[in-house]
Amino acid sequence: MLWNELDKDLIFVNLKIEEKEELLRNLCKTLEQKGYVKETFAEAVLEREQQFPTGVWVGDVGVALPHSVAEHVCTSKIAIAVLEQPVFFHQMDAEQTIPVQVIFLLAIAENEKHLLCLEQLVELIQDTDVMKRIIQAKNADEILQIIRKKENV
Amino acid sequence: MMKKKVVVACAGAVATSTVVEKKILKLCEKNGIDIEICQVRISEIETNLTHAKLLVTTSKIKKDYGVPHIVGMPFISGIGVEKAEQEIIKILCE
Repeated sequence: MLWNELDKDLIFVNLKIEEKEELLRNLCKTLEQKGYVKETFAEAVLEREQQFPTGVWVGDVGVALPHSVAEHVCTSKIAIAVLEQPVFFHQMDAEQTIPVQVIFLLAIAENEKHLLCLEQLVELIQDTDVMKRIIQAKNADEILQIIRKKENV
Repeated sequence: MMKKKVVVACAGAVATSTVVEKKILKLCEKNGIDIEICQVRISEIETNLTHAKLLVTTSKIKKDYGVPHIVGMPFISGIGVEKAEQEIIKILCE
């Protein structure tokens, strides 16, 4: 369950930020300060995002799933950022950039788990209704509830 | 009949390609197509293409490998899944 990897302190709503790199650095920093990732995590995420972008257009909204390989992670966590205004990410499968409003930053310490989380995230982002509600959520608690409900926890 | 080889590739050969692999396996099973999936990193595509009928990638690739190629993105985004499924079936049934 994604639910298990979520943490209220790692969910940000109405985030005001103008640029992708700044956003990713901020999110990675938060994970680092809490001791969930190593200091190499941010660079690893940025580099990977540049080489293999993670932007996905799911219909009405752009989503990004940035991540690194497991070696930069100490404790598995997922940070969620919902932006007030979208920032641009490259699409996973194309040259184009798309406006992304919801970011799931995956910090997963085990490969098996990484896969499981990704599968569950794919289920989540394909649900247009859930994504709409996540964007409209007023606080971290609401987002937790939306995901919890989706997973029937 | 021999199994048809499908190469599925993503950046790390761990995550997105496995998600796509599972969905393709399910699709082929449903349609009675016997396949064998070879899951690789983008950088390993070339050395694994022998006898491949289909190449599916989740990230963009610039090169033409001479094997029918499909972008597996619809299986991640949920957009255009049906079209991708039909294309896969068409290629594998040829």
